This record gives sequence, C-alpha cells and structure tokens, in this order.
Amino acid sequence: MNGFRGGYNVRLDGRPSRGVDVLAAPERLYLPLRSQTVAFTNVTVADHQVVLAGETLATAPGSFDIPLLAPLPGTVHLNATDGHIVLDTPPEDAMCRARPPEATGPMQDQLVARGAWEFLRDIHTGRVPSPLRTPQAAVVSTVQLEPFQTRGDVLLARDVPAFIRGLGLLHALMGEKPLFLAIPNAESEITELLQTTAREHPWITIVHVPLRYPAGDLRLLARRVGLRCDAALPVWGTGVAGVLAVDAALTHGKAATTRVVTLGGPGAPQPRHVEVHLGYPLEKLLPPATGPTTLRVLNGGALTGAQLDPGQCGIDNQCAGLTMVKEHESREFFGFLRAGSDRPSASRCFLSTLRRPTRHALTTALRGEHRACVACGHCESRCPAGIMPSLLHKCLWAGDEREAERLRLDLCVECGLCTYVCPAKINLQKQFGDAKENIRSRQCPAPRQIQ
Amino acid sequence: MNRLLNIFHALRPRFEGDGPLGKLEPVFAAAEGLLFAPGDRTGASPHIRDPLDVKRYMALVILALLPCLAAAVYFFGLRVLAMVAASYVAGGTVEVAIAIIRGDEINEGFLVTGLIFPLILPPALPLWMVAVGSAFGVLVGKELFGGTGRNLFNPAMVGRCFLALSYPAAMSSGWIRPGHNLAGRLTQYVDASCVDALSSATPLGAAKHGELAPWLDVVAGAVPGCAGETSAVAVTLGGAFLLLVGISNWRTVVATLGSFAALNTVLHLSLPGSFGPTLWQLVAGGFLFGAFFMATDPVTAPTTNLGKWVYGTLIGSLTVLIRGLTGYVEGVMFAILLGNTCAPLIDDVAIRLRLRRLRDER
Repeated sequence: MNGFRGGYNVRLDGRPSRGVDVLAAPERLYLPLRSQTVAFTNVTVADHQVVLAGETLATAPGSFDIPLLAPLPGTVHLNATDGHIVLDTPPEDAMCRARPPEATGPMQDQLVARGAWEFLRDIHTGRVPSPLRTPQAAVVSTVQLEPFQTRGDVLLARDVPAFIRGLGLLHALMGEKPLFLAIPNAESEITELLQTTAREHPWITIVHVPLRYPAGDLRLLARRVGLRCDAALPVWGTGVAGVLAVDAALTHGKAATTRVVTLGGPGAPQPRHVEVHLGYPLEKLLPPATGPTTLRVLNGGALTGAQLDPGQCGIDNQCAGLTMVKEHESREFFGFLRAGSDRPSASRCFLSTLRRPTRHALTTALRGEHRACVACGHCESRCPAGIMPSLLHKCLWAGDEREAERLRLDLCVECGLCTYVCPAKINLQKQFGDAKENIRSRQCPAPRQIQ
Repeated sequence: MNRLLNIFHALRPRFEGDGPLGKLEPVFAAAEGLLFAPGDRTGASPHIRDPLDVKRYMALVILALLPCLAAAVYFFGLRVLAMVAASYVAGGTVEVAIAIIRGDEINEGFLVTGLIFPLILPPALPLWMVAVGSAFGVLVGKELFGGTGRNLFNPAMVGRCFLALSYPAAMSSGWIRPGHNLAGRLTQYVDASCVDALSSATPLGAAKHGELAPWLDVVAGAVPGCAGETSAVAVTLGGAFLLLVGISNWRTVVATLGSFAALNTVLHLSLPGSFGPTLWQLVAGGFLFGAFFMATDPVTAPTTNLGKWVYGTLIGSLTVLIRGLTGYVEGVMFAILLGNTCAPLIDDVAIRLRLRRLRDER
C-alpha cells in the first residue's frame, strides 16, 4: 500500500477547543458492567461492601479477566441500578486514604491490575490482546479525526514527556519489538518533539498521517506499514490515552480510573473536553431532556458511535466521546432543488463546493429516500480500504457472502464513510458489519479464548 | 407550506396498507417525496448523512439536459416538447404501473430516461412511436431487469434500438431542417406533414456521399438530426456541467472521446474515403451526446475505474468503425449497447486485477 486512500472530513458543528476541564468527584458513581467490547460479568464484591480506590469490583472473563476498578473509595450497591455497580463515595474529609495492595510481578500483570491493559487492542480482532502473547509490533496513533472523540493533540498537550516515557515502557513491554507512531502530517511543536524523540530511539518509526478521516485508524495504519496481522502474530494498537495509562500505571503505580471525554456535536450546549472518573453520572454531563427525543446522544463519534443505551447511567470504560446530534424534525419544500450553498457535501452537487468549508449543524436526517444502488461511485472514492463497497453491497444483497469474501470484505474498517456519502441512503456499514460477523461465526463457530 | 404538508398527513392513511387507495401508495409517496424532503431519520451509525440523494442526482442530470432541450426546441420547433410529453406519459405510466404491481417506490430514474429518449429521436417522428419506444425502453430496458440500478442496458437506448429496428423508414427519414432565422422554429410546430421543412439526410448521411455540412452549422446544431443531439455547443455545455459536479465520470468521457479521435485520425489518414475528418466527425451526429450523457450512465457502465477506461475506448472505437465501415450512418447507438453488453465482463477482468493488488493486504 503506497498511501492513504479515500477519506473525508465531515465538518460537524460543536467541536470543542483543546482545553480539558477536570470535574470534581461526584457523590455517586454508576459503573456500567458492559461497554462496546468488554463485559464485566464476574462481580467480585458483595452488596454494601466498602472498597478502596483502585480495588477490583468485577472482572471480564471474556477479556483476559481485566478488572473494573473502583475509581474512588466508597460503598458498593449491586442492585441499585440495572447493569451497573453503584458506588457511594464519602465526602473528601471522610475518605479512606489507604491504598489497595500494590500490584507486583511482570509489567503485563501490573497493567491488567491497574486497568491500563484495556487501552490496548489486538488490531486483528479489535479486542483486548492476550497478556501472555508477545506482539510482532505495536502501532500508536496520535490522530483521531472522527467528530467527536477525544483527539490525540488534546491529550498530548497535557503531558508530552509522560507520553514519550510511555512509549519506552510499551517498547519494553513488547520485548523491544518495533513501534510505529502515527503523527499528523502537519507542523506543530508536539509533532516536532515526537520526531526528535523518534530520531533518538531507532525502534520508533514515524508514520505521517494526513488530517483526513479515518487516516488515524489502527487497522489502516498497520496495513500502511506492511504489518500482516493474524491470530498467531498479533499487532497491538493503542492511542495517546493508552500510552499515558501505561506510563501512569508503571511509573507512578496509578490506576486508570479516569477518562478524558469529549462532549461535542451540534446538540452540545457547551462543547468541551472533561476529565471524569469512570462511572461519572451521565445526567451531569448531558443537557436536561426538554422534549420527547429531541436530542440523540451517541457513545462515540457521529460516524461509528452507537446510540447511548437509555439504561446507561455512567461513563463506561471505553467512552472517549459523547456526541450530541439534534433529531431531525422539519421537512423542506422542494429540498432537492435548493442551490445548497449551506450544505457541505462530499460530492460537488451543491453550491457549497464553491465556498470555504465551514462547520455544519447536521441533524439525524437521512436526507433522502432509500433507493437501489445507482453505482455512482461515491462510496468507492471515499473508501479508505481500497475495496468496492457498491459491488460488495450487490453481492450481499444477493446473499452471496462467499463472493463478498473474495472481494475482500475483510479489509473494511467500518469507518462509515461509504454509508455517509451514499445518495441511495443504503446502510452499507451495517450490512458489512453483519456480514463480517456472519463470516466470522461461520469460520469459528465457538470462539475460544486464547489463554 | 405547512398547510400543504398537513393535507398530505391527512391523506396518508387512505393510501396506507389496507386503506381504500392502498394500491396507489407508490404514487402518493412519490408526490409527497417530490414536494417535501423526507422526514426519515438515520437508524444506526453513521448517525449523520451527506445531503446528496438520488433525487438531487437525477435533477442535476435533467438540468444538464436543458441546454440540449432548449437547442432542440429552437432548431426544430415546439413539437419537441410534445415528444417529451409523450415520452414522459408513456414511460411514466409503465413505471407507475410496475411500481404499483411490485408495491415498490417510483424511481426518479425514469425522469431522466423520459427526457433523454425524445432527444435522441428524429424530431418529426410520430408521437405514438415516441410513446411506444419510451414504454418499451422503460419496460424491457429497465423494469424487466429489476428497476433503476439493476438494468443492464441504457433504457433510452433500448427504446431507440427498438424503434430503429421496428420502424426503420420513420427512424431514418423524420428529419427536420432547422430554422435559419434568428427566432429559429421557436414558434412553429413542425411535424411530418410539413413537407417543406423536412430534410432527406443528416450531415452524417450526406458525408457518406462526400458532402460535408458547414462547420459552424454543425457546431451550433443548425443541421438536421436527432432532436437534442445536433448542437455540439449545448451538448458540451451540459456534459461539462455533469463532469464538473462529478456525476459523469471523466474517465469514461476522456476514453470515449480520445479513442474516437485517435482511431478516426488514423483511419482518416489511411482511408479518407470512408472516414471523414476527425474534428468534424466528432461534433457531427449523436456521438458527443452519447459520450457525455449515455456512455456515462453509471448503472450500465462498469463500476471499476480501469473498466471505465476500457468501456469508453470500446464505445469510441466501435462508433468510428460502425460509421465508416458499415451501412449505418450513425454508430453510437450500437456502440453503447455493445459497450453495455461488455460492461460486466470488463468489470470482471478489472476486479480480478484489482484483487491481485489487494492480495497482500491483511
């Protein structure tokens, strides 16, 4: 692969600036027992048990027993809210200062015990990697371009030395295997500093990434540098938050129980970044509901995030952004005939093409009617994986998953751009995601955990 | 407009499911969708969408065809509008009937087909033939394959081919001499009964006998020919617009025009008797219209970029060969239909090559 293909930046209104507000600890934390890929099904504490900060509340048997840690000392309530462990935290003066037993042993064990391991991903599976297996390499991306998830530059601006130290620890953790560091293809003090660091450490290879979504995607980066990921030779991937968590865990012995979360999108009353404890009540972060379903809150970005589960009460361990988009309500008269100078588009079919790109307050409108594919080619031109989404769609529409496999459906990174640009409003992303899941379950009917 | 929207809301139950007019739901939905942007919301990620939809896409093609329509009315009179109406009524009836039978939505595609079709017909062709051709094109060229997006051949070309084979005399004689005064034939209604206005041959037909029509007339379109194809200026204007907005693919257009020019130049130098001068051949007849508006139809062209180059080259070259070496005066219709036939095969080869490039990626 020679360069980055396709891509497109959706310029969505409600982009936060670079500062991070550190929010005070609340009196009650709602720790979700399930996030996008991790399920903490093995609860290890009893109802009304008093726990210390950093103590394990539950573990995830399907993800190498990574723990759900208590972000603060407090009293556990197991049945107060469905799907959550509720933690009542005492006022600061009554707070127990004692620390849980120190984690010792190999670095992997320390990272697992301090909640930093879950920041790592096996690029091939998209899941938490096995702590017992040494990877062939690691890819660290400092570029996050999806509106809106916590950007690498926001985290880097807080502590670059910690990040550089974290890279060294990650390198040692991998048994001194190569590390690929993706930085933006734009000049800044931070990128300059990272390049200088890379010159001093030959095991770091810098990969310059254009500022065009989804160029910072870990799977695309692994392909870009020629890494072949498979189950036998895993490639680790992580972002800035992961490297900082590794540094905090191994240098300072600190548990990763806080998250920097982006509150953005056209529906966000005050777009900003906040640092909060895991389980921080969502009702304190989101605007109060003023009417029936006028705002859609997404756990993640506008292109790949899932609608926030109405039952979820607190920040989960994988949350990097809450994107708020207003629900679509109005209907335009002869909308398709408007000149469209106020409609930024990936195509050149609107007068907005002649304007400087501006941010736009998009709603959840489908902006068209479902139609059969007209083979316009917009999906293919934006696809970062170099595959042919319209052809894949036709195969899957005809129920031919084997042909879709032959057309390299496996290369799809589910960035959502094909669906975003499709004029026929076909949800290719969902169709491809479902088909990949079917193929995966057909190939390995009962997935076994690698221990 | 809220009042109108409320009327639609009030009427909707009658057209839904078991309502008294349930069968006509596609018609109701099409009317509502034409007037008001849909109120649908995204269901799953991505939760936001680009503003481009198929209606806008087709509306821009129609906009690009307007210069050709204006030129056709200017040179050949108001009857062209009657042909457009006949084409829309017949093609639309088939489209609506099929949508009702299938319980499917009415596709915007027929609005483009219905306008392109009369523009590629002789302007004095009887209106019933226009209607029959349009209905045949929509039914056989599109609906039998599953509707818009699933057709193998360009529906307008299928309709034209049907007429050319069924009524060869009418299709090769219904030419009108364009008006040469300033007002053109803007105020006239010229049909086959106006013997004075009829012409026996198009410039391409005359060129077979060694008579080249004047350059200026051919470029402007003031020559006999198919209604919307004669004016190279209008066709290029619309074609350039489609390229600018990215609806037609530049690879297809460049390959079609380039291969035509290259092959015709070579053959003109070798066999000047059979092959006319390249630039003249380029602007005469329906080649430009075919290259800009019909070869670029994304549904019937290959989907791969490499395929588009091959497809364009095939159409350009075949047009030259049919014009110069067969008894047919114009070759673009058969060239495009043959191109449509080959498109899946071209795509298959191009996809194999592309998959080979992706082979090493995991």
